[in-house]
Amino acid sequence: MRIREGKIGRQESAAIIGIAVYVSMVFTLSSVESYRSGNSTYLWVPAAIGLVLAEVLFVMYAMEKCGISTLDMLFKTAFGKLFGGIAGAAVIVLLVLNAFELLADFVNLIHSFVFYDQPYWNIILWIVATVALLGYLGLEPIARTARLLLPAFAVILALWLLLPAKSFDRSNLYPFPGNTFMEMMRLAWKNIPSAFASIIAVLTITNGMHGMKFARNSCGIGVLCALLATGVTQLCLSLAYGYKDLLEIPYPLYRLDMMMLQEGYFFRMDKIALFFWLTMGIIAAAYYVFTASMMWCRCYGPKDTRPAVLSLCVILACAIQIQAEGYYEEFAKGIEAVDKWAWTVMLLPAGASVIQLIKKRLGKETVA
Amino acid sequence: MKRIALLLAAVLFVAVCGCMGPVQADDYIYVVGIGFDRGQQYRYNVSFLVQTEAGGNTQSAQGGAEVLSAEGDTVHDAIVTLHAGGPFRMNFSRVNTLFFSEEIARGGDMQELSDLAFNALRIRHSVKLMVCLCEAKDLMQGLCLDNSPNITKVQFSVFQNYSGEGITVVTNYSQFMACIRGQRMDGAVMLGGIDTTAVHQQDSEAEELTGSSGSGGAGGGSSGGGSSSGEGSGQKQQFTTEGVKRTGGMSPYISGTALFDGWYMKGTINGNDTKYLLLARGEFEQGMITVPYEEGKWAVLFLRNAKKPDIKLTLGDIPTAQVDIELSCSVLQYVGDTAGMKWKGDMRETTQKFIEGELERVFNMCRKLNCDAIGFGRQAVKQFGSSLNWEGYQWKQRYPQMQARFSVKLELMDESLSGRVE
Repeated sequence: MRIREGKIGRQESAAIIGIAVYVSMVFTLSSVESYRSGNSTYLWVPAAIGLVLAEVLFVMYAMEKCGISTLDMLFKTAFGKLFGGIAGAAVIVLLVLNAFELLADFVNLIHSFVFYDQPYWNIILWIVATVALLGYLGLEPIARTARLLLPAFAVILALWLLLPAKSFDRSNLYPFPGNTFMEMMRLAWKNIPSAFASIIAVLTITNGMHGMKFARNSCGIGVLCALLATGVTQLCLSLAYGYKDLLEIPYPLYRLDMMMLQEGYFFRMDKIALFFWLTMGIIAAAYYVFTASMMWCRCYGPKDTRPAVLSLCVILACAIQIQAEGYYEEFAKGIEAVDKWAWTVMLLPAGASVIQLIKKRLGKETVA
Repeated sequence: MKRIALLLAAVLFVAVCGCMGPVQADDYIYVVGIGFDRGQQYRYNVSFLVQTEAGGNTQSAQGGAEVLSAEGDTVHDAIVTLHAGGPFRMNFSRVNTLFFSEEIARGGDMQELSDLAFNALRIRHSVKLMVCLCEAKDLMQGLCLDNSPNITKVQFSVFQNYSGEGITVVTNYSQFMACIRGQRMDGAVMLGGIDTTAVHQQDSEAEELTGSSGSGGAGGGSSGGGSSSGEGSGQKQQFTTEGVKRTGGMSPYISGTALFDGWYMKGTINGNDTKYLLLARGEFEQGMITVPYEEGKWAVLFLRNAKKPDIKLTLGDIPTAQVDIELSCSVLQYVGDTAGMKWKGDMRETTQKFIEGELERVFNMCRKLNCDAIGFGRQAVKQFGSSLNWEGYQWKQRYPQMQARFSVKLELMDESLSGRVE
């Protein structure tokens, strides 16, 4: 068995979860959908993360009560081997899709702002290769890299959000709150899959986190920090740009310092910040790829995550290249279709937990 | 495993270091400004203000500049033409200002020109915008004269004009686009011009430029555009700085504001009026104004805006606004009694009324041009809870009927000091 799970501590696990949630909820947010009828992202994005956290904490509670250690086990005990495997496949699809969205966005970002005259393949190669390397090495290197770089990310992010503060204009928050309550709920629901994938992935690696109790603590700390950081980031973006601006601007976070008028020491920090975000994106993508591979191994029997990691990375690289060759709409439609039905995947762990709790109450507890 | 990791690290190290399509640093010339004029052969005459004497990758504080220009229907056409005629590649990552001639700005061509691929050229969205009362190329050439301060210092001077004197606005591309897209206010762009007679040490260049403006033909270093707009006032402006004769300094000057209605420039206000515009916008930091307070007497006040204006906007068919501004000031020069005594007398009230009158005059000028340069729309939007209602209100259609009253409260900063010194 070479699933390369290793053991990570609370700081490492909180760091990797926090980074994954933050990156997914800030960089892969669809501008068209999110800002079309107003801007209240600073309200509903944290709300979406909070909802997912509540669900995952419930699932963790149920798993702990029933003595189940990993998500695949939960599915198998609740739904049986066949349907448990299908449920596991659905989670794998969601995780890989998240990795794809993240990497495709970062490849576009690097292509647009740094290597405009280079073919996509050149950029994809070194980004996906790094993801593959991290995923290949396993959970420990991924989490320890996340923990190591987290303070640098935090400093860059804080600088990035504070430096253009002079250009923030409160009137950009208006019309306030911009969306109706129902609209906010709809948007939160629509964007939940990204947050869900990043948090539910924890349940595939709980064995590497010293058990469920530690996993729950780490998850709580990581997600709450990410929730706060995401909320503050979205608020800063909303203060810097009106909703109509945000609708038109791709990657608004990258352009946050473009509102600054006077040049200073940090004026041209955007490229440095971009490479820090890319590193965060690579770590988060490696986390998704590794957890998807782990889920694959657990559900379908292989004893080594590495072939799955490498295969998934090849698939991802090809998919990004195909998308970049002019198939944006096709991919967008595909992702939209998956997002449309993602709620069913989200119900799977919750449903399985309810089933297990009922079974336990009825005295039919399955062996974990 | 270690070998694989090391191999990957070596490969990635090269890739991450930006070695994709490398270009020697010496092959680049760095563009710091792009100017747009109406062309004769093609639609635009595009000028590039290029840094010279800047060694390698470092931005030299001592560097001079020169202007390259070519005509084309797009910026890219002009770039290709220039690349064809020179052993260099133009690098746009240092572009700091986009210069538009008045004709281009009034014709709404900024919309088309702003569609240029900023990312492809690596131009940052923080690039500042300037409208030139003359040909953009002439102004850019004025910045390159041998005795002129270098470009870095010109940029510093712009910010001094903005924050130290209040005689110009500074708007970058991001902010201008926010005005266009958001429709909560209209664009107000830095205004520049040239005063060719000011350059006393560069008689030959001045004569050359003057000759070119007078004849309306090519000149001034193969200028393709001729005189700026062919109007008498435009030509007169080339011999004065906002109507005032000047000697010394550079031929270009930066003062005043170009007012926009959407993409179209509708008019200008001078540097003095810009102070009141900035005051109403809440951007005025400090500056001097001359106030006539008695028949034939005047005072010079140094103003410092202590607080942001308090704007109470009542919406309806005709929006009405009450703008309260609190300012601190010191009396720099006056004729008559001691400053402190005079201030306590009628000077304060006279000055307040004068500023209120000026604010109202500038507001009326903007309103007449359908340009919400003060940004009352930013206050109007605060009264809406949903974007649907806000967009349905159609602020821009109601703005021309808007009424605004200004109330100014002045506080003397150094009352005792002024009195004691006197």
